[in-house]
Amino acid sequence: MKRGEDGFTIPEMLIGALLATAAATLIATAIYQFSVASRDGRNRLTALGDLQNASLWIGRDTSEAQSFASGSGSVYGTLSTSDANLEYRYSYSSADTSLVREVLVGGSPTNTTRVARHIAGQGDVAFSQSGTLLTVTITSTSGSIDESATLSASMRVR
Amino acid sequence: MRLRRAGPAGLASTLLRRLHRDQRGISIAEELVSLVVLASAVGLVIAGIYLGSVGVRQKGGRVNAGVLAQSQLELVADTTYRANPTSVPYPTVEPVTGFSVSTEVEYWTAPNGPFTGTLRNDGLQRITVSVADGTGEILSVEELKVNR
Repeated sequence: MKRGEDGFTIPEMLIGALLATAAATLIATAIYQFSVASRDGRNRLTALGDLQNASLWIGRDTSEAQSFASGSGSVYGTLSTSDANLEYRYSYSSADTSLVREVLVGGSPTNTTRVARHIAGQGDVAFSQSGTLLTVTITSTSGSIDESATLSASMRVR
Repeated sequence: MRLRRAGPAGLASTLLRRLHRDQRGISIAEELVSLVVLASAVGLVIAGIYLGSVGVRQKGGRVNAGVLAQSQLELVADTTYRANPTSVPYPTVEPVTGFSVSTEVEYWTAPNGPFTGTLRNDGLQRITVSVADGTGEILSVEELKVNR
C-alpha cells in the first residue's frame, strides 16, 4: 500500500459489508419476487383462460340442447339437440389432461375440441342436471395455481 | 474535481485511472446520479410487477364475473316468467366469495314502451344483471324475458 493511504478502518469495513449485504439481499428478493409473480401470474392466466373457454363452449352447446344424458367412464355426458343426428359429447382425456368436446353426427365424432387443457383429474369437472338446467363445475390447475368456476346453463330447446 | 470532457469510454478510463492512482473516491454528484439510476431501475421493476399483478387480478375478476353473469341470466332464462318478481323473485346464483350479483327487473309499458322501474305486467321484462367486487362494478348485462 502506498504511503499516506491509510485504507479502511474495521468499522468502515463492517458498515460497508453491511450495506453491501443489505443491497444484495434486496436485489435477490426483488429478482425472486419478480420470477414468482410472473410465474404465478402466467399460471393464473392459463387457468382462467381454460375456465373462460370452457364456459363459452358449454354455454353455447347447452343453449342449443334439448336434453342431457350422463355418460360413463371418461365421458361426462352428451347433449342432444332437436336434430336427432347432432349431439355434443363432453369427456375427459387423461392423456393430455383436457376437457374434450366432440360433435357427434349420427353418433360418430366429426370434430374434437379441447375446451380446457389443464384439468388435473377427471373429478375436476362435474356435470349435474336439474330439470332443464345444467350445472358444470370446472377446476383448472396450472402449476401451483388452480381456478374454479360453476356455470349454470339452460337447455332452451323444448 | 475536474473531469476532462470525454465520451463514455473516456469517462470510464478516467474513473479507472483515478481509482488506481488516488483514493479521492467519487463526488456527491456522481453518487447521486448512480443512486437515481439504481432507484429508477428498481422502481421500474416494482412497477412492472405491480402492473402485471393488477392485470392478472382484473382478468380473474372479469372471467369470474362473466361466468357469474352468464349463469344468472341462464337461471332466469330457465325459469318461467314471473309477473311480480318483487314478491316471487327470480332465482339467483350461488354466491362466490369476493363477488356480488344483483338482478334488476324493469317492466315494459305496452304498447310502445318505455321500460319502467314501476311494477306492471305487460308481458315483457328487461333483466339487468350486474356483478361487482370490492372495487366496484365489473360488468353489467341485459336480457329480455317474455311471457310465453
